[in-house]
Amino acid sequence: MVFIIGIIASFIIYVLIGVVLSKSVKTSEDFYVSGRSGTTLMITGTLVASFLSTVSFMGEVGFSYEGYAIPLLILVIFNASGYVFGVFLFGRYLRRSKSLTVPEYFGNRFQSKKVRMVAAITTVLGIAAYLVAVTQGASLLLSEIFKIPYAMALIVMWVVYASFTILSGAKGVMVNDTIMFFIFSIATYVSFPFILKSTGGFPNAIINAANNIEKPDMFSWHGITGPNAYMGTPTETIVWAIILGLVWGSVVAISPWQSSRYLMAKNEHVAIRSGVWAMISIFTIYLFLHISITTINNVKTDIVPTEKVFIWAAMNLVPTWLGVIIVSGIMAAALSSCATFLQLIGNSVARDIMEQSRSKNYTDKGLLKVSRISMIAISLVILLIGLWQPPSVMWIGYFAATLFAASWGPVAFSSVFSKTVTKEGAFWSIVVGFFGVIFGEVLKLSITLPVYLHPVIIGVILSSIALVIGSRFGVITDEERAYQAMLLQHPIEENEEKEMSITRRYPGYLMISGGLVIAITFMFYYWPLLQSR
Amino acid sequence: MGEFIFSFSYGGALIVMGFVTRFFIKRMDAERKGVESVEMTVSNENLTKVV
Repeated sequence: MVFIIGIIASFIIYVLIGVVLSKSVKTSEDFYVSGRSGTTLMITGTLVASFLSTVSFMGEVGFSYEGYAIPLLILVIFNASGYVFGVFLFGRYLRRSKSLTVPEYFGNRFQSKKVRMVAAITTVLGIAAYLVAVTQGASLLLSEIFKIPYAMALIVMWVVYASFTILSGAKGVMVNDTIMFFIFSIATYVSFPFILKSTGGFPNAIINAANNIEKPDMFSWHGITGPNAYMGTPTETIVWAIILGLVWGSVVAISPWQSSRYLMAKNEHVAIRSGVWAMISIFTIYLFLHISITTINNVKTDIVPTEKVFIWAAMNLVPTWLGVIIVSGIMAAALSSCATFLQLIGNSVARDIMEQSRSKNYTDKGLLKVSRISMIAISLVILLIGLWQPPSVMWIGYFAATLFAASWGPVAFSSVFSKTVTKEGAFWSIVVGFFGVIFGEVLKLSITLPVYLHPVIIGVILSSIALVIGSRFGVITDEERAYQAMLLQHPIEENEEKEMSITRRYPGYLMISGGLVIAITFMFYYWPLLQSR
Repeated sequence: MGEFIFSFSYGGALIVMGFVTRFFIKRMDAERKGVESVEMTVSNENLTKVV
């Protein structure tokens, strides 16, 4: 009962925040990018909250519980580095464009409605699939906790995330994301000592997990390998972790639900600092979460489905107050992603598809109204798909998310730095990248692809080829050159010297965090592992 | 051995990214100084302009 009360209380808070902040939404800029007023804390919060969802707190923790925590953490090294590379090579230039949506940036950069339209369509298709997957995952969880039918849980989820997103747009999403970021971060960090205590205490919990007979090698660098394991040989495991890590690093760097967060930043320095903090947050959240989850095998090895392991721990291993925070944190991670996804789809439909296809410019009030109507319509469609389509959470989430690495990756980086990419190249690169991943997935159904030929890799290769060949056609106009030159011009902010002096400290923060993380990893992983041998 | 390398590399990656960030910020600082010196030249030219 206490879990239900905790979740309902958190839901009411999110909706109330949406209602209150809706009153301060006066312009489309407020609705789309929160008036570009985001502070470092808020942009960090919304970056991390949009990235983590049920895929992270259910799917990935289940994967660690099955015996693959360390390969997953190796993947995170490459994945989370995408924040720093992303903000320096794409995010800060996107912020300079002062666009309201990412497809709008592509359209302006290449002075092409066609490029803008195809970027918007891929945004809508890719993110809608991801939104369905995350909503279904969270609804399954909600239906179990509340003991209500799945359809009813889906409707409750829809009411909560759609209400505050439609009412307050980016303003509500950013504030709620920051609150949700704190809830699931606290859930992860505070649960660490409690789970270790319940699974044998420190260092025995880790020593016993390393010696687990049912899942040998669970804590080794390559996880469980062999004929019946998910992974093949240790070499295949490391190749898998690096390739998937790089793919996810690209997703973090350029995907619409991550890069669009920089459009809300107060200035470029805030964008850069947020990218750095987001990277540190992901590194620490994953380290604490996956080490503690693996030790749950000491007390129970047969949780089925494994996706429920963190929820099981919340209800059985930690004090009730912490269990409530964990369950609310998992729901928060799901809701924050849903809200961001709905916001992006609604914005793209209104601003990039409807406005552009009708070749008319809405007034500011008109755009605000159309955006809200689009969000209502889209959220209803998502609800109906969720009701009609059987829940198949994780693979759709992974597929839809990684789609953008191939479809947008080559175009995003070259839009900033290349002087030879034409609008034809950009258009075909997005199209071919999108269908390249789908082609790879279809191919995977009939033949076993080697790990280095992941569908996304196929998509990236095809997208890059299309970019090069496509750029041989068409000409680069003076407007395109002028726009690119504007992007590459460093903006001088108010108090630039002061802002710069704060930003200069950030490499130091990363290095200090790195030192601390090494110490924590040695203390809570390597040293106990040595004791187990 | 693999576990030792992992324990060092996980946090080590943050340290490496610290150096990467320092490189990007230095470049950014140089760009900023370039923009400021151009603005300074333009404003000096305006001061010396014969009206």
